[in-house]
Amino acid sequence: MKSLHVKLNDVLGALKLGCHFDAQGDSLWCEIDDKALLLSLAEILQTMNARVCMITAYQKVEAHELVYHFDLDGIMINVKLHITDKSVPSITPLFKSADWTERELSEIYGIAILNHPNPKRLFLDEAIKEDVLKEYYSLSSAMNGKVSQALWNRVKAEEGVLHG
Amino acid sequence: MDNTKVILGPFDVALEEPIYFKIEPNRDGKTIKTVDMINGFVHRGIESIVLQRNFLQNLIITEKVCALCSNNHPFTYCMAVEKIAGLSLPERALYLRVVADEIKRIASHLFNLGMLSHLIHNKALMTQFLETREDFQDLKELIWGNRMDLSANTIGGVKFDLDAKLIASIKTTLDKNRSKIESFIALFETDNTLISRLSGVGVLSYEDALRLGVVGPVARASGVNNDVRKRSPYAAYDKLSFDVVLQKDGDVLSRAKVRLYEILESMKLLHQALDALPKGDIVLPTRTLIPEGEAISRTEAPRGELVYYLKTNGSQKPERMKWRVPTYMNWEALKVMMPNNSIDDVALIFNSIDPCISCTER
Repeated sequence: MKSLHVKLNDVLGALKLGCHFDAQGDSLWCEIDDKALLLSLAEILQTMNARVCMITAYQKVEAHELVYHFDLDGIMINVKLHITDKSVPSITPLFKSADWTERELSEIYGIAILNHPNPKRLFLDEAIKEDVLKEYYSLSSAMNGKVSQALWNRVKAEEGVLHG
Repeated sequence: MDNTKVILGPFDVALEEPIYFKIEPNRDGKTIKTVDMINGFVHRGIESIVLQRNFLQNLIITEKVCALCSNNHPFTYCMAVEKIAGLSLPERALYLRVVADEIKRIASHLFNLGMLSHLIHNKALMTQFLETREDFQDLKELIWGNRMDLSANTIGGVKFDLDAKLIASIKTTLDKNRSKIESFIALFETDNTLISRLSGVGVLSYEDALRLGVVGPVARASGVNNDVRKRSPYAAYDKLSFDVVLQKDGDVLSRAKVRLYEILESMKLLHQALDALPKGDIVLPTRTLIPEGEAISRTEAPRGELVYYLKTNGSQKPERMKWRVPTYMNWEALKVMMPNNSIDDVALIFNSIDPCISCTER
């Protein structure tokens, strides 16, 4: 484990990335703004036989944060990417293990995944618009009393659209 | 033969969970050329729901993601919260978490093996597997008062304790069933009918397993060792000794054997954890407010690696919470496992990844 820490520090130093290990030493956190840098890092991790465990997205005002979670010999490398234009290059051509998670973040947050080999919807029907996580209505409000267009309009007006 | 597509699903493929297979047969009309899967029939938007609930309410919601891994979801979620809050748990709680998890793993593996027997129409074997599993279900009911959702974990520890009587009950159940598991293993190692029916079916090579990032028994049956309990130990696993079970062939038989041998390893872990159970508290005495921060945690669920990411902002609700379940990684591998196998074996191959649609479509 220790030699892997040293090796990782070398790689990240060469790319001039500011990263830190968490207290337990089993996950590494990095922050980047540059999409090209993400691809360079992904290429290096691919040669080191890393795999993509998951990609998380969340919205921050008008921007999005994506966190790429790579596993490398038991260490979780979390690369945080800040984007403002709702698009990222796909890493699926490098990592087949990123296929589903990229498609899912696209359908939930409406982020365009550029160059994805199979950009089909994963879970949600094509009829449902993208960026669906923004919309939340509690079931009890939606089903309260008589279900009519008037009630539905009131629910939408009162509850608005809560940001998820 | 004409080019009729074979449609299986969306209901009643193997586990009465909805998934839809679009199969294009080869020219012989009996084997699979390509397969496509359509999912999303029971997507519930739980990742959005958890953002509207506080940290304690989410303990219950994560437990409801799926029934068979229902211990691992709150377990992994608690680990993420505890990391952010900087909590270190009482030793006894860490051991008790292992106990709950390993009993769940045994019951889960036995259920999958029971389903396998059902799919190859071996009703006698299915009965034996499910009867063995019943002993572990009874054990769960005895300890946690419930046969599926244990509600064993809470933020800062566990909600149950074991006294001498309960420890004796667990050991009795383990001792009673050990020889049964050994005879199942002997059956899967030597019975020609079983071996010829299951070997060479749904093969996933070592290289494909690595490339697709599969996890759990599916990865280990293809020789890839990514057992989280060993690779990135949590709870009390670094203090206990056990072996990671690996097979080489990557077929349905290997996946069944991995699960069978893993039951013996779980039994080994349970004996050790019960013998070494430290004295002391089972949960931290005070509630903590969860500060701003982020964390990632993972555990080895019965089906493989489960990952949780949690981001908090100092309020009592998560800012973002995401999790990835084992089936999510194993699913795409079906497109490699199925081609050139018999169309009759779709349900058998599907079952061999121990699929959980409820988990995947959270």
